[in-house]
Amino acid sequence: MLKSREAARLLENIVGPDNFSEDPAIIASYVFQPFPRSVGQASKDIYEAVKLGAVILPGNTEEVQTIAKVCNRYGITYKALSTGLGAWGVPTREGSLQVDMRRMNRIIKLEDRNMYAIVEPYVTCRELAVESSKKGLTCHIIGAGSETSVLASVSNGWGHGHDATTASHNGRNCLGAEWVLPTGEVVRWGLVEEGKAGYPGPGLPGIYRGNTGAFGGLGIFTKVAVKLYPWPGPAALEIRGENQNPGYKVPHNMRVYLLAFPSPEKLAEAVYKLTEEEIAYHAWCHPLFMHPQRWMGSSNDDHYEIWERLRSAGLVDKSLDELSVVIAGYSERELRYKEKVLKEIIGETGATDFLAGVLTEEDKERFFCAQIAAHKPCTEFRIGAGDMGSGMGQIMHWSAQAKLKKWVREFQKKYIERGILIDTAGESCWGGPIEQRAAGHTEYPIFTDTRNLDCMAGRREFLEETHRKAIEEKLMGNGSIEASVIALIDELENAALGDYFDFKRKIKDVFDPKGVADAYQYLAGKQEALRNRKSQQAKTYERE
Amino acid sequence: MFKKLDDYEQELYWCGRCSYCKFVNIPFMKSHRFSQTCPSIKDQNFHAYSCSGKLNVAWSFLKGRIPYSDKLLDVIYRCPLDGACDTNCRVIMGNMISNNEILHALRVKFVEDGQILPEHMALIDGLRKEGNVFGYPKTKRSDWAEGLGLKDATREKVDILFHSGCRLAYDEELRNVVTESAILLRDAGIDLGIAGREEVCCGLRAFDIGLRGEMEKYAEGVASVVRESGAITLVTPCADCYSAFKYYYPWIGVKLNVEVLHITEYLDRLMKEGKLKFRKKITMRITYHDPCHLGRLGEAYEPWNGEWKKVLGHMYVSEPRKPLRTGERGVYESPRNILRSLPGLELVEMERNRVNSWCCGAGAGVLEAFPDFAHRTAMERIEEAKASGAEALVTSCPWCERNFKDSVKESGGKFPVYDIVELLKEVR
Amino acid sequence: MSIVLQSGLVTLVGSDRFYEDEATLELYSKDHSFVSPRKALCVVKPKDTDQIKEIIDLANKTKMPIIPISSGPPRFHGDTVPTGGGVCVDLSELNQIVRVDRRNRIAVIEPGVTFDTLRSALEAKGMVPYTPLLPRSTKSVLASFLEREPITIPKDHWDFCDPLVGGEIVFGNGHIQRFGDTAQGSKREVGTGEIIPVHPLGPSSIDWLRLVQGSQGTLGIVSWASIYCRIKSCIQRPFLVAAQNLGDLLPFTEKVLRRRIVEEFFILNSFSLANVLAEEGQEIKTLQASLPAWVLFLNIAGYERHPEEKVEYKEEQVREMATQERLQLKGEVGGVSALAILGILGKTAKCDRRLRYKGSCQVLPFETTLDRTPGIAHLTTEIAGEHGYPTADLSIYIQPIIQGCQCQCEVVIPYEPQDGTEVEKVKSLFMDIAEKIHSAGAYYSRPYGMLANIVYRDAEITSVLRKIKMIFDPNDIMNSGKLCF
Repeated sequence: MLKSREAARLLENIVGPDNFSEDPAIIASYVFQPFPRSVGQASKDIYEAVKLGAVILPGNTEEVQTIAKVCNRYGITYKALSTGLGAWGVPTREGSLQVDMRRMNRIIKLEDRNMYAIVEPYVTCRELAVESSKKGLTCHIIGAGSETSVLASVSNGWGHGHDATTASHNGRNCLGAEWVLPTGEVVRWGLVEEGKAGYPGPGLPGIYRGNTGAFGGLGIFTKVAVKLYPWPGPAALEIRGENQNPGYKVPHNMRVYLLAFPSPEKLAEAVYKLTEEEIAYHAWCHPLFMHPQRWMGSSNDDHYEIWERLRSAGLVDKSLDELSVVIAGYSERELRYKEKVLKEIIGETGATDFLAGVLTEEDKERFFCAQIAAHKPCTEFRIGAGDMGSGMGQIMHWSAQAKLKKWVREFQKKYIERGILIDTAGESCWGGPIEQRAAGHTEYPIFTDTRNLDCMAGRREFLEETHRKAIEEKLMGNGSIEASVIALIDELENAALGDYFDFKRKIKDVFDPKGVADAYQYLAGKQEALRNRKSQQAKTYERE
Repeated sequence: MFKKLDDYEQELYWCGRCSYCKFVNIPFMKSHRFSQTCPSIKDQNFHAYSCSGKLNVAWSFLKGRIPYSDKLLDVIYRCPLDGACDTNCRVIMGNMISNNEILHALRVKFVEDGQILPEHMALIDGLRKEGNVFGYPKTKRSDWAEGLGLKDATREKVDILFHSGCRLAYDEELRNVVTESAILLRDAGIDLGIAGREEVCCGLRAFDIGLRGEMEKYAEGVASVVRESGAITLVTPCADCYSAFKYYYPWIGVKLNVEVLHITEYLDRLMKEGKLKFRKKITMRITYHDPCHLGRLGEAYEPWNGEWKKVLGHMYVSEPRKPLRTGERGVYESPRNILRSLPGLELVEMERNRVNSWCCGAGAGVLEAFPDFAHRTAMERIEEAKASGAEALVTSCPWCERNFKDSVKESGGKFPVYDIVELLKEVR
Repeated sequence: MSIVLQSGLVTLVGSDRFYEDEATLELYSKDHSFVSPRKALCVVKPKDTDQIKEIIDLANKTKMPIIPISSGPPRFHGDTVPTGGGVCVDLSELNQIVRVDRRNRIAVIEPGVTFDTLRSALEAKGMVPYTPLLPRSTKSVLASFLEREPITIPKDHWDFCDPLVGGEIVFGNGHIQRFGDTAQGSKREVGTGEIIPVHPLGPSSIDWLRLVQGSQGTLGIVSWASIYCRIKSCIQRPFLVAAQNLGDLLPFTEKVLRRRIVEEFFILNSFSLANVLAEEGQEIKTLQASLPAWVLFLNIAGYERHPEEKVEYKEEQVREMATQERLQLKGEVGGVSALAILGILGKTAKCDRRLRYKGSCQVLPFETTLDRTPGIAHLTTEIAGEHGYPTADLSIYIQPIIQGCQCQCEVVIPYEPQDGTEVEKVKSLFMDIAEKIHSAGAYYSRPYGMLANIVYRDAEITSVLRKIKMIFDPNDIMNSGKLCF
């Protein structure tokens, strides 16, 4: 329950009794969050992470504003949540208010001429993608899967996805937003309002978005105008196979290639060449284990059986540098051109068919389905028995990514041998180029037994070791996305990447003077210690 | 084998909160309007009402962190147990989480602890007194068969035992369905009989609301009648009963040892053998609603008593291999084959069809305890039927048909709803 | 100027980089905008980041406004006029090209680098820069991109920030922050290639670049930055499409942009195109007379691999789309060849195109969506007519940006600066157009001078921006009096 009865009464009045609850049965479902088991909380009991007071379901922006004002008046911390994958949407202080955005699920506008859509928080990537495809468009779908909220990744967090070659990163896809500040005022910029294209001078989202986003630490976003991208395929793809693990027939104007490269360097070379000629619709690396996990099999049983078969065939260690490429053409000539160029690149870099003789045509159709529908990422929960984590995760140029890939692989092997991480042959690089440019994103999903405290300690050790090494080698890019040790990351990165923590603190203080927007992922870790810390800029920043 | 809630603790922990239980299986999603798959969370919005939410709540409950309360009962019982979450979770979690089993185990636990909704008491009383969920006189159970000349399977051996089910036995407005079903089989020369007044409820409703003991009792009753009849095939026009026979009975360990067919399966077979032909034309554009109990929950149960072991360090695999229940082996094509063969009839599909069908809202005690919710759920489906361009909705489940008809009437609108067999009567 | 400040600045930059003579101060005191001229106390020209930071630190101590400037004159928008007095910090002598990286398609430059210098350096490595439409020869590349001047290739403009990538900012409070994936390294390391900046986001949850872009120097000074570059095309096929009505060009524009297959792409009205090609008044008018009302320019290019085949398939698709919209792709329109325009696009202008007709002008840049442009263009012309301004002298340029999701437009109103009556007329016309097209969907995302008054009527936006200002420039020393600060 909330501490203040008066606040509870006011909140209930805002949304009506059907949309407000302090009941333990309701709260229990929000309290259960797999990710807190790994978000720095290596404890058996997940309930130590979250201590909610109430849950509220606003139906419109005005209600969100009023909720924020009540929270300010009564000092109640709150945080917004949409589909709720991951701990990013969960408040962490005792007696907090969970603001569940499910009732705000409209696609307000789908503007096909100007290629953008205005959506509310609960619209998922897939819902927007299917509606857009009717107009020859699609939206960026993040790596967590298409059942996640478009708005959440556009406005608040992360934003990487395997369609980045043509659909960028959601941190760069925002054409407007409606932002309810922690104090309850609302700010609108860009195309969420008619006739308001662009920034009001300075790029206002610069204050809350960045590489990682504020994760609800700076209030609630109630609308975004999100950029849409051309979709070269048909409005609806032909489904093949079973409901359990369907495939999509590859349209006549598209081609799918699954390639294996002799080394990370050759893979990087191929990426550079592909992006220079702008021929890829999708170009993305998947670790070997992801194939039996996501589209070759339908269960861990399948996965294991396939994995052992691959191992027996000597294919596990040979298949570590995969890149899948989808090309598309609006004309026969275009498609032929792209096929020709791709074949040249394959020849120049020594690529071969990935898992030749093993992958069937059905596998490839299932792969294609998984690429377009992006429905398989959460199968990682199956491997990780209800949890997963993503090590590293940053954007850099491809030569650096190749280097990173190699030594993360070596590091992982150590931890696999120690029994900390699930054996994925040390290869877990998931990533690809962004925007037909030299920049690419990679991250390294890892799995362990999150109910085993030794495993959790070992996992943290692995993450810390890789991050320290990355900083040492100057392979941090624009900062890691690894959130499960967010306090550590903030501390390490802050020192290495410019000592920006004070700015985040100031932004928080200015926009949220009462500190009611839960900022666990925004200002993690030693907030109080860092608040008083003097700038270390002189020590950490090389100066000419 | 039925397991208690505690036995599922490991599975409760495995929920990754991916929200797949809330939406249509993503590759099959066709629009934003019809993207949802779970009636409960669509209606109530709190995460607790989704399957994931219910698993999370079950976890909390198991740990003794939350007490019984009206809200807890609401969360658990405001759910038609339609199985959509079960099949969707498979797509992500494979065979790791037994969603439908857990939801039933929860209700069984609640009833064991004396927690039962008052609205369900009438249903239980009816069952206990008169052997049917309505409490209508047992003596009238076979009134529908009067004059049809069907064999009494309690007195003579038959090849086919025809089981009407409670809804069709007593709902006079739907009488056409059961009588026509029997007539079609009879006229095709099938040796069929009925148990008449000795026919007992399949018991599924009782199990759905948590009365495991009642279910076992009725299951044994049905098994006994089947044995006595000598039948080699058990046919029913009721989707709920079908699901009980194919899925739930094997789950609780009751074997019928006969082939179980839904009427549509049997009629489809007869049509393929040339024993049934329909020549009259019926000009109509219709859409077909896949009943949950015929489709997803019509897939036969495969028992598993294995364990989970770790491989590759910490990945769980089953030993022996746990069957992967996908809902795809339910009855989807037989009704469609029948409809497509009728001259003049044009079949269009709703967006959410087959395994991804939207529930009618009537099941698992929802109609009795939450009629408004049942109504809203049904009207969602009617809207979808209209959006498909169809002029009428056809189904093959009397509970679906009843709820759709009542909901359309209550809404003040008009949209015809038929059972397949009612259409067949028109073209015979 | 106080002795403390003067001696402080001289000590910092050296007396050879410190200017307080009248002639210099006069040069920096005004531009072609209607912002009232005012002289600064002095002008300084720092030579590296350290000096920039020290100047800012001194400014904070002495509460002295500073006005960062990178480009040489002529300037148009009033953003560099020292309206509050203070010190002009001229970055034009920070003009090093730190690195050119062909493999990663970036260059790292300092603020004083101009497009000509950059082009020479890039061409040596088989690359060319992204440019706005015919920049003047004195224009700073970094300043152009920081002002969000639109590049002419919408396909490669993915986000508002492009083509800026990583770099270093010295904020008004003296904090030095490197942004994007540059954040982990120094300029030296970027120069040697140990760090290669290829992505602008972050670090962390702040988009440092996004904040300072468009801020008119009110938040900080970018001391160096990396920018995206493009590979030099092997084959180019430019085309023109003519129309009497702007609206007739839009369906074709939308289709072509969606395919992402053309390079340079923009739309000019006849007067605007004439100003691009001709150098002076009468020549401009003669040329304009031969041109249709609207001309669309597009360029199709092939790179290193089978460029002929690449160009073939692209041209085939573009022609098909033109046919569908009953338009024609032409090599020449009204005596103007597409090749000639292409040739000009690779250059800078000694005389800014906007000054060629009458010697001065008012520039009204705004952002909108393509579908609104015909209405706004029509309204602009109508208002000009109501004010008695010759509508044929209005220059309108439409540049699709963000891959076609939006466009940046520019209305230029030339006038004779010596003609007092015309000056007053244009002032009034400018304000009237600004107000009315704003209501019709023109948004001033580059709110120079009087345009700021319109944009910042939005109290919530203004409140947020002022909070941002307080954080990054708490003593309000950075170009005070601009925007809403």
